[in-house]
Amino acid sequence: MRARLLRLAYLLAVAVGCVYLLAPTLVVALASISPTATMRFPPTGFSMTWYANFFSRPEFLTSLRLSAALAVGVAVASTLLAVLLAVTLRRAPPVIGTVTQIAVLMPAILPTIVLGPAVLIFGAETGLAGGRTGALLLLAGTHVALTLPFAWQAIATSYASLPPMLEEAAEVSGASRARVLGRVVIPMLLPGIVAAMTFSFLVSFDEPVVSLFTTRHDMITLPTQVFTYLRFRADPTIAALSTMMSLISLCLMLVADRVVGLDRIMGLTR
Amino acid sequence: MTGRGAYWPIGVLAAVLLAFFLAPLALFLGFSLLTYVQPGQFGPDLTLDNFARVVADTYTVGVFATTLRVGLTVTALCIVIGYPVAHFIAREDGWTRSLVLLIVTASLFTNLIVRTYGWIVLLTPRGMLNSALIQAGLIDKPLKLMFNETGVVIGLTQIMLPLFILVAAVSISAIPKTLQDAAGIAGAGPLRTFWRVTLPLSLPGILNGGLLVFVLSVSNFITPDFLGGGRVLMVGSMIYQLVSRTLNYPFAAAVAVSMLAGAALLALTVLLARFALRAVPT
Repeated sequence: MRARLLRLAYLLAVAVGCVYLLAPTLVVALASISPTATMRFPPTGFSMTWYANFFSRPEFLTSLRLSAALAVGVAVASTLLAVLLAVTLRRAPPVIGTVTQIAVLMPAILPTIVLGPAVLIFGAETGLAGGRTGALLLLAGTHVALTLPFAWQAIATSYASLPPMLEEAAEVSGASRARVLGRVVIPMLLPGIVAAMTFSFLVSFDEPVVSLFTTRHDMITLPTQVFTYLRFRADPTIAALSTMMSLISLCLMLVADRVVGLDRIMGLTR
Repeated sequence: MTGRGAYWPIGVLAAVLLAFFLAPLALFLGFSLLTYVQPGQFGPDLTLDNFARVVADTYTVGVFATTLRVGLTVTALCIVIGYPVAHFIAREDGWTRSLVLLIVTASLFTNLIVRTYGWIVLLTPRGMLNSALIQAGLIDKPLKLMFNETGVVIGLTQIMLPLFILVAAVSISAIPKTLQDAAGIAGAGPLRTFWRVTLPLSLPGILNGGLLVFVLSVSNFITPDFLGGGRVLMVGSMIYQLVSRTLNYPFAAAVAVSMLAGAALLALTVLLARFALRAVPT
């Protein structure tokens, strides 16, 4: 009896935690289909006005295109670097491996409120942020540093489960390094690569702080656009965008779970 | 067969980190030693005045105190609310567990501003929560849940929760199940097994997760800005205002250095605590 009660209390605590996690996302989804600008409970009707409003505003669409292009580029660069590092580190002495791993993870620990101003000042002092191309390069480079820890986590766990014999066999048969990489490693790592791209894409696409500091009138990412919009208005246009973004996150997580398993990416031993 | 040239990807990594992480960081933190002349203009004379101001200025000290209080509350709440969920993910099976893991990871990768906006919709005086409570007849007047520390804590805790859950779950999942089974065979009930076996062994994970949550919540400025409505000033907001409004980079850098030093000190304490924990025979 006592054990039953304990179990019940435990499950209740888990349920409460999940509801707490889901609350804002669900509320935003409700707000996005509400016809009124201020949210009432219970909802008074159904309308797609706010979705239409989002797609009729050119500034949101421009930012959406920029953020999507940036995130795709960053995800490809970050994942490629993570794969190359994983392959290199397998042959490197353990000391180099440890130091490199610490270096890769560093940007995940530093608060972005410190990195943001740092990148802003660095861009101004070096003159890199003077033109749009330079500013874009600076933002993209910083995003690569910020997404690399996530890409690395996905690639390293996938690569660890790949027997070294496969690479050795290909080499013994006379394949060059590039050929081993292209014909053996990358195909076998494909699930890990999909996961790494997913995580890097989302981290870059959602990154609100560094892009806020490095923003220019011709380089406003979607999170910065939302940040500015919310300062002046809080109508459910943001709710419509938020709901779409949450759905994208959810879909990408489902894909990552299917191809690699969230357990393995997160490092959970089963 | 593999010469030194084979290590070139490490060189690429070093170049990326140097150009987009280490050099900007060193430059910004170095600004903390410059003299502030006027917005955007700084003298080359090296000085420690900015740091003196961090310690002496009552306003700044107040901001640090608020930040510490909010950070500790959020960390404590994350541990209490997150631990059961982490344990569930680490120890259960079946579709409910997969669903919980999906909820946690999807929340982790949901935009910070989006989640903050969700809390605005929920917590404003005429928002969802208040109107639901009033309609249910539980309260007469709307509760003050936003534009104060309560709102910031409610929002920040939810935003940090997924990260804590995942770090703690990894640590719990690494504890061999046989240890819990052994405790059960030795006659310990589930509660006793938890207190004497699972909890002590997962302490390193709790400390790691707690430290991460603390550092990320004291440096967050978007959530406190929106949910605190300018009334809850935290270190992150202060750095943002100093950099983008008053253009006082030297003082902003001194505040940043102080914040990082505080976090590093805390990390060191946690490391020492973990070391001490390992030394105690359990």
